[in-house]
Amino acid sequence: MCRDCGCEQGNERAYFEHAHDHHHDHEVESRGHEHHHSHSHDHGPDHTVRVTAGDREIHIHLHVECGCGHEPNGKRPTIKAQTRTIVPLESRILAHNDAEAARNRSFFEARGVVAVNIISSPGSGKTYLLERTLEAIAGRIPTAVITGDQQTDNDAQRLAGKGAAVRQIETRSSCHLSAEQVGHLLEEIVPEGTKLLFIENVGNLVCPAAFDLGESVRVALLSVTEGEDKPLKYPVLFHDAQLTVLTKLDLVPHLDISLEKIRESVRTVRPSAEILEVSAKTGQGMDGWIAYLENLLRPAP
Amino acid sequence: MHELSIAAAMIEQLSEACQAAGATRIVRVDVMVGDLSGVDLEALELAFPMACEGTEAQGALLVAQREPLELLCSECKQVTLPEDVAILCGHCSSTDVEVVRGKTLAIKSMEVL
Repeated sequence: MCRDCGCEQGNERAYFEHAHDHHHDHEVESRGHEHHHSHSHDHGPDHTVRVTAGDREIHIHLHVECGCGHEPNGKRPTIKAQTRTIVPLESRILAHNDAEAARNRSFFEARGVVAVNIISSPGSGKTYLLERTLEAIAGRIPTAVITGDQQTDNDAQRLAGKGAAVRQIETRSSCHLSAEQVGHLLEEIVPEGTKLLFIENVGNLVCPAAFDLGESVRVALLSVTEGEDKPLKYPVLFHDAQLTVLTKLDLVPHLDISLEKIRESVRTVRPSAEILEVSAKTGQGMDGWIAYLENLLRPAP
Repeated sequence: MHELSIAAAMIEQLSEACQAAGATRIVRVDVMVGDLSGVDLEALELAFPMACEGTEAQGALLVAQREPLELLCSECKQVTLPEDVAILCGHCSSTDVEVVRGKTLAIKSMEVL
């Protein structure tokens, strides 16, 4: 076997043709990801060999005994294979985001601010719940809101004029808020004396779950129209969220669903999850949600 | 598809480490992706070559190893490897379990020229 590329044909006397097919197992342990491709070999009299797969040059190596007969001056060809070095890294991929999140967290702790990162699929009622919440706490709890969407400041407009400082982040092509984006706004939007910061993440059940924003508490919203087993289908968010709020409770009579099955799904992926049920439209359950927030603001005993 | 952001974050670290190692090309990258990391392996494999374009890692092979979810029961002290994300001890059915593995999202090593 060729020690450079691992192909079976390398270094065998039978290797006269300068093109061959071979089969790589790329060692993706859990997935058995395999490739089959052809190599064409092209070399000059010095036996430096360019190995290509499709249009991409993979590496440079030399079949010493390729049998081509090109041995200039009767000498053995010189091996010019480049040395590969393995560099151990053991680094967290999101180290940069995590560092920014830690900075945000320190900011919140220093100012005594509770930051609530609200994550849900689009259309589950984040903005509407926040509208009703801001109205309920106006004048009582100094509050700021950062709201993320790919485009438009529609949500910021809906939330403006309700007693809280509101800022929109348009993420453009990005499907989540990053700790850095949030961090840039904190000095401006969270002045001294602010007690509560809502971060309304981009509507998406999957992507925002991977990014710590430095929040004090992560809240998942799940509208009752979304299906009883959604937490099982998208477990990462519901596993990480300390609280899941079931929204649009007023629609339950029109649906063929069981609230108990939804609760079971949430508790399967997070047994300790708190679960609240609200209708921002009728006000049902809003007292419990406001009480939950007020409880977060109480200093730990 | 936040995996492109993830891949871009990888390239940033890899480029830096490649230069620090005095190398010019990255030919292979080994990563560990936990089942509860929030990153989809297939999407990452799709996004990685895009993020590599025009960098030292162009054409690099991504070798992604999955880290399965592993739970340690606080009551019976046994380990469970659940198939799906069910936070429950497979031995005594306690829900008082700790997630000991499955959240990793890390670059293990790279191979450079």
